[in-house]
Amino acid sequence: MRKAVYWLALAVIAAFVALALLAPWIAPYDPNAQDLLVRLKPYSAAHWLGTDEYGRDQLSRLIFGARVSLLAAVEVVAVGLLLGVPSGVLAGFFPGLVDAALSRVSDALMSVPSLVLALTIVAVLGQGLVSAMFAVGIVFAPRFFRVARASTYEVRRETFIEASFAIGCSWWRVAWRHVLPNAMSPLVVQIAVVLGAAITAEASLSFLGIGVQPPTASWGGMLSSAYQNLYEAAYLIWAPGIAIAATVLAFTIVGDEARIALGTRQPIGV
Amino acid sequence: MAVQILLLRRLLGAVPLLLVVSFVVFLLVGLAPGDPAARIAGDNSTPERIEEIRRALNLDAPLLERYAYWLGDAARGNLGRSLATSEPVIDVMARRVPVTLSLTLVALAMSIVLGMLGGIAAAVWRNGPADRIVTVLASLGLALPSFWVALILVVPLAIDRNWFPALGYQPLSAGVWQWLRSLTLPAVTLALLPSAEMALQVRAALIETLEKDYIVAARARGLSAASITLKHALKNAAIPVVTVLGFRIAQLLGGSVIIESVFALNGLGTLAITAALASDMPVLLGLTMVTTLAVVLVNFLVDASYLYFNPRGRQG
Repeated sequence: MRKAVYWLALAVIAAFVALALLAPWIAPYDPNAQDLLVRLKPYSAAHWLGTDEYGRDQLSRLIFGARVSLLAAVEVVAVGLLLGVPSGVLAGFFPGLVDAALSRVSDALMSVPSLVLALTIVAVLGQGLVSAMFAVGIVFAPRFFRVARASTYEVRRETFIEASFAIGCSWWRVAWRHVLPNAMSPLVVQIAVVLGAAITAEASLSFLGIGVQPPTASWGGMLSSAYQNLYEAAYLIWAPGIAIAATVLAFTIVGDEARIALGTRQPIGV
Repeated sequence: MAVQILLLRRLLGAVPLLLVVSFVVFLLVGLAPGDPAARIAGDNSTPERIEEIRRALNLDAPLLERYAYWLGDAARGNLGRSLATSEPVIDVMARRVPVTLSLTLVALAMSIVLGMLGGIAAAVWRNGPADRIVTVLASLGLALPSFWVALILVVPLAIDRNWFPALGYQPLSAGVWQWLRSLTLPAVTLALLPSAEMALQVRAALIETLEKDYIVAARARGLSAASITLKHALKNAAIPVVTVLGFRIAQLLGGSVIIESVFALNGLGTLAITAALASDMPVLLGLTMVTTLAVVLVNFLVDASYLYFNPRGRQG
């Protein structure tokens, strides 16, 4: 049963990535093509998922929206890893002043409500998908920092690390070749969790009009236009919402499975 | 060490945290590439407006000096003026605090009740149907975006039937019933994520506790199952649950940003969005400080209750 759910989750992720990569070839219509004669029409043979207030095909927008979600998720993880892992390794290696300073910053970032912090960073960087996801990446960086710091701290005193230093390895070589591989499994679990969370974050910010700017299709943006037409066309809320929920759920399940398989324990509250 | 001194030390520990938060946010604003005044003013602004913003934010001064000034003012309760409306930031926020406070408190109460009941039921009838239902619902609660659930609930409950208002907040002065009615849908959707996480945590903690020797001993002495679960196991299982309450508050305050905007509640969350769209930095800095302060205060209360739940911590 658990295995079946796991394979289903993997299938959902594969379908999501395939949609994102192959969008221009799969989508039946141009996602931004307006056809005001068929605005706010429910499901039909011509438009499987109906049309929005500009008569745009919802299925095509959903398929192209997968691109935005995938791009957003990858950017958030990349920013989070780039900011969190090096600083985490540094903090784990030097448990004095360096660790104290970096950990304070990480704690500080974690105690600001995430959307408030993301909105503040967006206000500095400007709106749009790239800067919004950079902001979310900063918000998630402390999670990677914690994992990298804890794993580094654990192996720091091991003999093979001492030996590497003794034969004259530079500390970044030790970090790259010997510490990071040991931190890999908790990092992989964290990446799966953050991928899901990043998709929700992108949808939230695009729903608020701060992420992806119209007319570019995104799942959050589709929900926003569904919200604006709630009285006339409530059916518009289903497709993008199910797409977000299924993808996020799939990443959560894969993350859980990875956690069990790799035998790592998630610290409470992270 | 006396408990009071321990708590006082924890409370003082919050001060450096707030300093670091404000400094990091200040740094983010200061280190961003380009002319901050021009960026904040927006694309179609006059040089006079840019100059005005530069003066208002004292942008010509070095970063550290600017921070020192801001900190001095903030310590005296002056968080500057909004760039958009020129109103003092404190006043703008004070007007909106009751809305967000009501929303988060009602949602917190809901998540504690739902999370506790769900977690206890799942742990007591482990691997039974109740456990299955709670676990599946909780997994859904973790994955479903709250604002989508809000839309799903609004259509049948507020649009098709007039049971709850779809938009707007009724203050307590309009009557408890009206207040609660305007908060029900927003609070339910906001409570979704924290109650799901709490249920899973209570379940895990309670299952672990129920296997402990002293529980087996209590059972051997013939204590009733209800008494064991509620009086002995739950108190110990509460420790990990209460420990992360601070995270829950941060979560609720973050979530309220989007829920307030779905239900058009004029709280701190909608203020944050307006401020972000207008690059109103003084307001955003103020919001960051106030929400972080709330998180810190809750964490302090959690520490205090932790000492109650776990006497071992009293030794310092």
